[in-house]
Amino acid sequence: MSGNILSHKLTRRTFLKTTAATAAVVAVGDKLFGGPVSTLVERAAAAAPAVTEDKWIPTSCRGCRDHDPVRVRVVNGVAVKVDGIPGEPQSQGRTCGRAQAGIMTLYNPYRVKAPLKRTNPEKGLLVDPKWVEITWDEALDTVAGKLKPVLEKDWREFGLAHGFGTLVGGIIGRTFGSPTTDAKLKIDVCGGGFHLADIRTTGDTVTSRDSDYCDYAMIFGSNARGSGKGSPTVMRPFLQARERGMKVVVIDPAQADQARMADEWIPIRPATDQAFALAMLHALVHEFGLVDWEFIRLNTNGPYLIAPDGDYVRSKTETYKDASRLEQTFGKPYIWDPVDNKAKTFDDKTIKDFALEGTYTVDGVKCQPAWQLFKEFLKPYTAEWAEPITTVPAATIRRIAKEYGEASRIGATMTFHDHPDGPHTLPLRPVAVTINKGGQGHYWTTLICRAVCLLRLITGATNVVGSTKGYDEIRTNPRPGPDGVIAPASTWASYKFAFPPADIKLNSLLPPRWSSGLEAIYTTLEPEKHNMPFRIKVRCLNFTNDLKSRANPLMAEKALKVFPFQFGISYHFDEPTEMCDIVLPEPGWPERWEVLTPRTKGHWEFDNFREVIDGFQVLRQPVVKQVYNTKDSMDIMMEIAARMGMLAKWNAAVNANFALKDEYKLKPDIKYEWKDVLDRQLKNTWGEAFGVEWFKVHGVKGKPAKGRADWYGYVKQPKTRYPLYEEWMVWQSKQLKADRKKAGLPELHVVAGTAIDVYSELIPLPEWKGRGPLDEAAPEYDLYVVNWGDQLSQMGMMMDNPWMHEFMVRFRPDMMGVWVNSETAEKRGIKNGDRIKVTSQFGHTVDGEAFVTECINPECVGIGGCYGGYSASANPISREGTHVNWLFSTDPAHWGPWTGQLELSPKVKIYKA
Amino acid sequence: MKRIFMLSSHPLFSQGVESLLRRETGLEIVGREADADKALERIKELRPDVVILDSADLCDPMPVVMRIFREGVGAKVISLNLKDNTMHVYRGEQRVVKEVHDLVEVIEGQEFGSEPVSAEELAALAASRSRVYGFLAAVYNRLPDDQFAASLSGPDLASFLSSLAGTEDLPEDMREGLRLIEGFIQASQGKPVDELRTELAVERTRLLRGVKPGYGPPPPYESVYLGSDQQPLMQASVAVRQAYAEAGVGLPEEVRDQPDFIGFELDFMRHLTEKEAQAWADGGWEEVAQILEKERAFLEEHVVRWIPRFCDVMAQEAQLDFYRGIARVTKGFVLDEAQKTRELLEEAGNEPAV
Repeated sequence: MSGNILSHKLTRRTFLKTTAATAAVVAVGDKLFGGPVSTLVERAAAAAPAVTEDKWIPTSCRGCRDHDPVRVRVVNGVAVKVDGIPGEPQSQGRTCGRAQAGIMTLYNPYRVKAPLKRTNPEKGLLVDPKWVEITWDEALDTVAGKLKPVLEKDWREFGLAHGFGTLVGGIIGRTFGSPTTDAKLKIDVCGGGFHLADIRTTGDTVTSRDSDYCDYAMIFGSNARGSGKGSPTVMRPFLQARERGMKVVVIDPAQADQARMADEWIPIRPATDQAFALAMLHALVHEFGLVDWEFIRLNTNGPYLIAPDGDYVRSKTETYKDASRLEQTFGKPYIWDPVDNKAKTFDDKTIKDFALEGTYTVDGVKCQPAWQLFKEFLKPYTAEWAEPITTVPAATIRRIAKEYGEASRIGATMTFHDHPDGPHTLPLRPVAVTINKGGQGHYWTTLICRAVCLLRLITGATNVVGSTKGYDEIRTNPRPGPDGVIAPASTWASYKFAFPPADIKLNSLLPPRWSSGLEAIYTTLEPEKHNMPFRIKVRCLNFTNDLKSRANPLMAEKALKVFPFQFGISYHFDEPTEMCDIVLPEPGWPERWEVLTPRTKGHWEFDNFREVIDGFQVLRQPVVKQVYNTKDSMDIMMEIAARMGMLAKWNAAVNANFALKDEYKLKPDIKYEWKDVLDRQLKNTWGEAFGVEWFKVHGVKGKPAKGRADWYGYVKQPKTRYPLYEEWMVWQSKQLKADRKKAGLPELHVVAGTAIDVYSELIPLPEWKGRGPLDEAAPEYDLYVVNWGDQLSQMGMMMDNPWMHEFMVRFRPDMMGVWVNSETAEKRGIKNGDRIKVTSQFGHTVDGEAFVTECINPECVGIGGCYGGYSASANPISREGTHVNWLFSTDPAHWGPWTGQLELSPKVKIYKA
Repeated sequence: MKRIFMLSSHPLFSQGVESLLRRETGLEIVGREADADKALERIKELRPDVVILDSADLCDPMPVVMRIFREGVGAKVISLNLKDNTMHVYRGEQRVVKEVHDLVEVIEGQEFGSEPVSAEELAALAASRSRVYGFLAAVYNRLPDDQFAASLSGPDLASFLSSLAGTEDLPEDMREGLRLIEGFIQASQGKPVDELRTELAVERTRLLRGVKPGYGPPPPYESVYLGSDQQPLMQASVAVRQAYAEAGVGLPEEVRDQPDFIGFELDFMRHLTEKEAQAWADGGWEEVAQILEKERAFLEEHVVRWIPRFCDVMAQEAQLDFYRGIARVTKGFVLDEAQKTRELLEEAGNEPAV
């Protein structure tokens, strides 16, 4: 254009001024960047999002471990609402607060937006890492550069700290070495005894309740809505059962969510559930005779003869090898046939009956059936004995026992006609007993849980209609071992001793074990002292918070400083991410691809579903493009593998992990994005037509089971015997002593210089041994503290979600403070809202706001949830509230002998701050 | 030669001003009057370039001014107020006058459009503005590298910036910002490049990446500043993406971030002003007007609604004067830009006098 502009306002003077200003800045810019730079690019208009896009996209929520199906409304590229999927059978179209808050999971401005490295070599909870944003190339090359020499030397020196994470362990393990080099310093506050007890009495690590038919549910120290779950999907069967008339008895010091849904809440004194259960057993056996005698005879080791040394009395001629016991040879256990009046092996075809009582001599050995021993064992444990221990009136204990025994409907059966193979008749025992974190979080955890789980066996209520069963419904296969008793159902229930230690938790020294993992701190801080043959040099962190889910965070901090190089695949700057060297941002759940294979049709734990389905898979798909510069965790690890020259190994690991057929196998030298891998996994399982594109529309696919009967372990294994008497522990004790001697170790397990008598817990019957440290507390500590999660207050991962925070602060601030019983409060002059301090018997103190309530045993104070993050660098909203974990002790002298279980309800004193 | 007529009933005023002005070359006093009516007649005859009024005579000089204009004389009218040292230059400008030089400058100035601004000049201006946007965008978007650090610790930029010290007429924020940057560069002379680069990178991450609340400001996204860091206003992000799309641009696939990041919004303005420069050179009035309208709209509906506010916070939280300076420059520039584009737009509505 030529010509001039007659400009009134744009005077030459103004023009000059503008020119001068811009020229000055332009000149600076040119010198700094050597010329113009730009980011935005020309695009075809068609690439722009349509102005009026408004759609619902099905996916799966990852706000807790339920992975509920949800749908997300996306308007013009922005996710605006999470809701249930109408007509979806699992959740019935409902969703929960955690899912809804997923919007802020996406748009939280403080999530990690790009890869970063620390520039401050000093690490600490109160130290600024001085993060610097870097490119993905630099980040991945750095990690690969550190990891390669470590893997070349010793794969055990690569540790993976992996919680509710998104990495697929089977692929990571096959590529980089076994993921059992678990570099998690986290204490499993919930594992302890109940996993072991469940495995031994129902066959799987976690037990579910057959809610469709259960009439009487006894729930010890357990909260379905606070255990990493609580979605509508998981709660629905429970609530429908309540409507149907299932009676719920909750035994718990505090009235957390579960107790609110109960018919009867028994506010038991902490750590005494074992006494309650023993007294119930006593009443059932000695007073009411409410025993499923047939079950005891045919489906427990009650008839097995026990020698004075605690072992079974065994045949000298009929033997077997036991793969779970180092392929040792054992004689078959004897029973006594009272009709033929002789000992026979348990599987003798000529058995006419099984003696349950009496004293016999076999091969010169005086012996008794296990049931006899059990009966005698129970004698002291009357309801009167239990009352002062538990604070539950003897009459109540007795009444509950009677109700339970009668509700068991011993002798009843139910027939299902929906199976193509014909009708199936199973025992109907519509009572379910479960125990989880709160009940088992104490010193003698395996004894507590065993006592509770024995209730299942007394009335034959395991793996049958209406009772408890292994939670992996269809696949529960409580097969008997060669001795007729249920065989260990997973790798950690079989014996495999290894010295020097094979893992930082020293589990290989105490096999098999569900441990709290406390040892990891001590073996990290003092490896030579603990005979560690390797040191973790590179640690990968994904979705776990070692520093919050534990007792003494300062100890964990010390341990984390020891690892030379750590990289975190993180969503936000939680405490352990702050200790990393490199942070690799991963997407939130609404922006990622994942295939879930929940263990059962929906059911994970607690309650099962109506729909009878043999396995199903769910697709989680991104509803929006990744908001920031994130990468899927599996793509990250694939890239790292590729940069270390291990791409072929990675691809082979994928092929093996998913057992991919030839047509879906990954070729060795090609990088496949995770979405592509999932497509192959789905097609491999369901057929060519059912890849990602199909699942994007339908979301879920399941395989119908043949019939209801297939759900029950009894159908597959009607002859399995469950251990009333844990002979396994007798053998284990002996073997462990022998193995330790052979390895040149002292008999007792030693951690940080403290000798621990693990054998004291490896006893065949759950004898009451008191409560360990709780019984040793000084008298000034006259209360107990209890903790529980609830649906919105569980799991640390959403503690910095602004919507969750706002909700809790407005509606449930009590979960962030300290519950004090009203009577207790009055005696101590404490009022609602007072700031109080709580000091534990172990000398640690927290403070919080008091909430006076009737909903807790007067001897207890309650600190809920997992609030009160304490790192100075954590998001301030996650620092609000009180954190109970500070009150616990990580001293080896205080932890459970076998499992390392922390005392989760230490004795405390309270006073105004 | 500029011919000046004095209208004042205060002899000391007119004599005083006259005698000062007489010392200047190129100026001639052609007449004086004490009475407005008589002055008008003389002005009509003499047709001076400039008429100086004594504001002490007139409560309201406007009628006199209007009469001068109505006479079609075409003179510049300056109402001089010696009581508060101001002068009014009709039309409506007011400046400080401390010395004769200030007065002379206005007399000699081209404000009344006697010399128009050409399209070529406006194209060059747009191109310049585009480079400023590009530079600022780069500071926000790019990770500090060795060249960047070397430039800030080397001698070239330092000496250049001190030569800018005398540049007047920059908006104050920009001037202050450049001064801070200059100070930073002086202080960084000779610093090891590695060390400086890390310092800059740490600071940039802290100020721009929203690591956590309390560690630097909330991250610079329009949605965060129009909403809050507890609840960003995502509609803003959508609207920004829409504005890009309507202009035919977008974020490339490999850039994984939100469109309303400060650096991208500034880069968008770079794009628009580049297009403006092209339009001045090759296009017609309509095209220029369209682009200017896009610029105005984006600046007013997006940029100035939050970026100046963010810059205030960034300047406050910055620990390095470089970034503090950048914050000031950014704020000053975008505010000036908003005003400028509005003015340009109004002008673009007029047909040119060819």
